[in-house]
Amino acid sequence: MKKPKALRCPEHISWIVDCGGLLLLDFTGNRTKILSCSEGAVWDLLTRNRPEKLRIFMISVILGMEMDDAAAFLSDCLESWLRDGWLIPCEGA
Amino acid sequence: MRTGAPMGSGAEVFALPVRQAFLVCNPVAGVSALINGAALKSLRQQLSGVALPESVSASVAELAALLNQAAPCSQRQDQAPLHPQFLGILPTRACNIACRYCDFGAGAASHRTMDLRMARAAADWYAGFLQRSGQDLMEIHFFGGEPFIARDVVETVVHRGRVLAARNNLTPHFEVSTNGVFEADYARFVGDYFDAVILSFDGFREVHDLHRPMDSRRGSFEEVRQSAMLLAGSPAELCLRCCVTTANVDALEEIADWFCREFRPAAVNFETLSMNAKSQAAGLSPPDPYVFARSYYQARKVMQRHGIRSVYAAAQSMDGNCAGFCPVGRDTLIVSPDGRISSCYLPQAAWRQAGLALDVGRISADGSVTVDADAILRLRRLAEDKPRCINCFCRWSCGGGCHVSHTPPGSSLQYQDYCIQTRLISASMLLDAMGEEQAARVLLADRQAMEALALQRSDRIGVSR
Ligand code: SF4
Ligand code: SF4
Repeated sequence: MKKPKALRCPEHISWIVDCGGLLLLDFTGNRTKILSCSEGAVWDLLTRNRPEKLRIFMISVILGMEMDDAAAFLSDCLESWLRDGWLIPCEGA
Repeated sequence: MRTGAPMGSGAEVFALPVRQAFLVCNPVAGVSALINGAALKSLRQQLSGVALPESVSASVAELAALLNQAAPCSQRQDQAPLHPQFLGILPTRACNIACRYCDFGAGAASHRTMDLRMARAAADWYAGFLQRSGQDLMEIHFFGGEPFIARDVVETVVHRGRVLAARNNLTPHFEVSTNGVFEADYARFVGDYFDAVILSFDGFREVHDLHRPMDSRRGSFEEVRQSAMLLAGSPAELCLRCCVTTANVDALEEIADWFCREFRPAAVNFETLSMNAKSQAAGLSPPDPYVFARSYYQARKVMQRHGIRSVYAAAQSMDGNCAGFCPVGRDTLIVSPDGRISSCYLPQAAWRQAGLALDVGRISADGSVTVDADAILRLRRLAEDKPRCINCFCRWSCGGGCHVSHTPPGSSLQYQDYCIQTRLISASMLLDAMGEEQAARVLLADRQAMEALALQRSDRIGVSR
């Protein structure tokens, strides 16, 4: 699996947190996406620029996973959000 | 002639002088009335079973019947299974500012933060417990120190809590008590993920900075104002908590008005300073209790006009639970960074010094949780065992206040300043609730009348206990 580059959320994407998870809103594409609470945790840590190592460790604790599994889960989330345009690479990354 | 029904053994009926009149109440039953001296005399007779002439007895008998309802408190409490009011998490005891009155020992506290696995174990145990006991509200509160200097812990518990809640069909509710000194960016996380934020904010710049400096050079007003502003625009319920000293007691009305206009909080909570060595050294003192009661009442009126709730904790819940507002006695489980589970969030040394044992369990290194049922039972009874409070009409809402600073074991039977203000505020709230606002105003403008009410030794109609 390729290691994702530094990613960020583009300006036209916003989100709403509720107790079932997180709702992503794309204002230009006029589309939405629901994230579960587990995916929402990844989204939150990523969009607040928590360092990658810490992100993996925290996700492993939050989801009760081994570190490798947590890293894979994170990487899967990021890859799919990048592919679908919910995230974009940071300039210069 | 009608014969009165003697007062039921569990009935809690009180009478308080309000100038020439008397406020009679049964706070547990939620019944109160303002009556004159002659009516009080008849009521006393009626409640002690003395026969009264038909002409006077009809309305008195009606009132007596309403007042004569038993309190459900202690039996229910003793037998009930464990039912924590909330799970408390203390991510760290350290803090990023230097309040001159800090009661939490933050200045000298270790910078230890809770191990993330321990934090997860606490959340897991709590979710499992709620499931097993058929409860569905997952209420987690964060205290400090300043919780947001141990962000990894807070975020782990919040996200873990949300995952568990979704998995187990629980409704999560997150609450935090914070000093509000964090970056603007972080306010989005706080506002998005917390249902309620209790933000300490002592009013206008001069006093806030006097009470709550960042360090010896500058105050925290700017940061806190910014956080209040950002949180006011967030989905979280914002409650501003103002510590009242002699420095701001005369400005509560203006502070309340400013808070309401500027931040539209859900509530503003005014509490008086609890003296400690630190606040004493800083030259801070609590306000005169009579002045505070009057000022609080005025602030409350301003807030009512804005449609915003005012809070003075000891007078808040006439809900028939004699544990009062303090989490001790309500099965609360608060986890410290070292794995101790207590019912109080003060440092262990503070309550030990007051002769109290408030630990109720432990989380061990492997994540297993033990809760001591005997300790829980002992703490449930703590609020009932307050000699000073037995004959006070506030015992159902105040419950003896803070077990550490107001009514520690062996504390004096005399009312303290805290009691005086609590009694006056509670009485004025009862008058307000009856539509007797004018009587409340007149009472609070008359020092002698306030003293007569506040210092009355026993409020009970009938035999004091
Ligand atoms: S005596 Fe004081 S501490 Fe006790 S219930 Fe009354 S006001 Fe509260
Ligand atoms: S004993 Fe005092 S400090 Fe401890 S929880 Fe109760 S009110 Fe708070």
